[in-house]
Amino acid sequence: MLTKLTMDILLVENVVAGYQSSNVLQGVSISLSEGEIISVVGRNGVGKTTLVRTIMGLLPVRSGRIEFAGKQITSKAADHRARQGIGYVPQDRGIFPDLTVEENLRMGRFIGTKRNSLDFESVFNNFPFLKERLHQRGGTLSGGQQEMLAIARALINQPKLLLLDEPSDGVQPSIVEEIGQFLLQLKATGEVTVLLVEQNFDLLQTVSDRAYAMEKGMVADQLSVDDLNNDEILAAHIAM
Amino acid sequence: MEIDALALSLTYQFGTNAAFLFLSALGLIVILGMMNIINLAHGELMMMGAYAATIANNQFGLPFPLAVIVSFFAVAIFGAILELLIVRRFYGRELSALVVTWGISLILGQGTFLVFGPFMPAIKIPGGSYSYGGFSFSEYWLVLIGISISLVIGLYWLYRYTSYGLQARATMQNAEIAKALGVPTNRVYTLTFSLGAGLAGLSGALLAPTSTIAPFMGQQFVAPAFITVVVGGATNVISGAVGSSVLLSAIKTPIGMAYGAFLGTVALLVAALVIIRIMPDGISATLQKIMDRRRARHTL
Repeated sequence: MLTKLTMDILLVENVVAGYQSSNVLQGVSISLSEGEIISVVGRNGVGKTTLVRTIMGLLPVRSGRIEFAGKQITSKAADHRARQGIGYVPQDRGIFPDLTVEENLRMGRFIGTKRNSLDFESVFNNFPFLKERLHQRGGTLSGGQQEMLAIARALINQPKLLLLDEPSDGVQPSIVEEIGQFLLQLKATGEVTVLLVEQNFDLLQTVSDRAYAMEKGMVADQLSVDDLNNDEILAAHIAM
Repeated sequence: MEIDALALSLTYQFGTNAAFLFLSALGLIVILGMMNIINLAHGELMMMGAYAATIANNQFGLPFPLAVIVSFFAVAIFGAILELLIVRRFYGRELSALVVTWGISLILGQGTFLVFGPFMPAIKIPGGSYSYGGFSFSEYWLVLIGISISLVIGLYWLYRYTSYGLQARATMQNAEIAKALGVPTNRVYTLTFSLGAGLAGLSGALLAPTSTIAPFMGQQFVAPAFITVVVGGATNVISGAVGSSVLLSAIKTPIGMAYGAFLGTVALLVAALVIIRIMPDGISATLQKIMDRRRARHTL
């Protein structure tokens, strides 16, 4: 294992983090190679969302380190990390309710190092409904539409890494499937690495290359594609 | 002929009342409307603008328009310092911010009194006046109406079409998400507070020739400022403030002309109460609901 064929885009080492009085993450280590879709599974409350928020920089790292694209980002602020190329879709989607759909999309342009002209064309190809709703307020979209808008916003300026926190939460099954197909297309381009927190079996099995199973704030197990496709093994890590 | 003059005078009064409400509210539109800080030092920021203009005009001999621009920058810089040192510790803590800005207001008022004494020499109202059919119209107020309209357009452009404007609106709606999308939110907060303070200073300078320049002159603007911003609502602060200045002036002006200024002000207060009762989130929230409904009908 001395030489790696692909570069680690994200490296999380023994990270301890959490909220005011208690640590939720008790020394988490994960690594993501370029172009992969890696999932994080586990029961409610094991620290999956905390892990994503810590990687994004919204929670401080108490010990351990985080490296992104070969650079140490452990103590960098969230806005710095975003400008380095980390796109983030929170569990509640984080759509600005009083900005229009177009303005929400424009807010994605500070993610990533390049200041490209925004690629609305490919956004409309992937999510055609957004074109008709450009001038509607974000808050008037349905949950599934907001999820797709949040994903499109995070990707509009080509980040290197996408953090997706439970995209299936509160979204109807047909749209979950659509999101799964979109993520597969995204993987095929090989340009974006995805860290996916998810509980939905279908979505996990459709897109994941491998997964980390968390328990009590630590990584308890690593799951291969075969493990993921075995409903019993997957259920043992997610359900009660 | 007399009807003509009366109509003209009514229109002029309506314009000056609306411009007065809008200018009083100008800085507060940004600081209360956008940032949700109950800024009780609003009147003192306006007072500082009036003092800066008076000093620049009287002591340094700057022409009045230039003195107004100087006031904007002076109070904006003061606002930035205030934000960095004090105000930023109180975001999201509305009542603490209220007490702190009240303290700032006392210090600024008393401090000005200690340094400059109870009065400053007045600034002469620039320009002359016209008279028509027994009514007189001040040139300066006509200019203020024009400036108010330009400020509305300028602010609308700033918040709608510039990168800063988009970042600021996003930050005020959800600072954490804005930060996670790469916006330097601390800088946006400082800039926005500074702009709000600068605008309060600008309107203080613009209204200085129409009022007595004294340490506690700011108090007279505080009530109309808060009424205008609250009646306008936070959903879209600029259209809200325009809507409420126009509506309140439309009620105050005819009643004031018929029954005197005092009853005109009473009518304004009653109207504000009624509007807030009917539209608890302000005029702009109601406007937005209507727009959303129309848009939804179009896309269906």
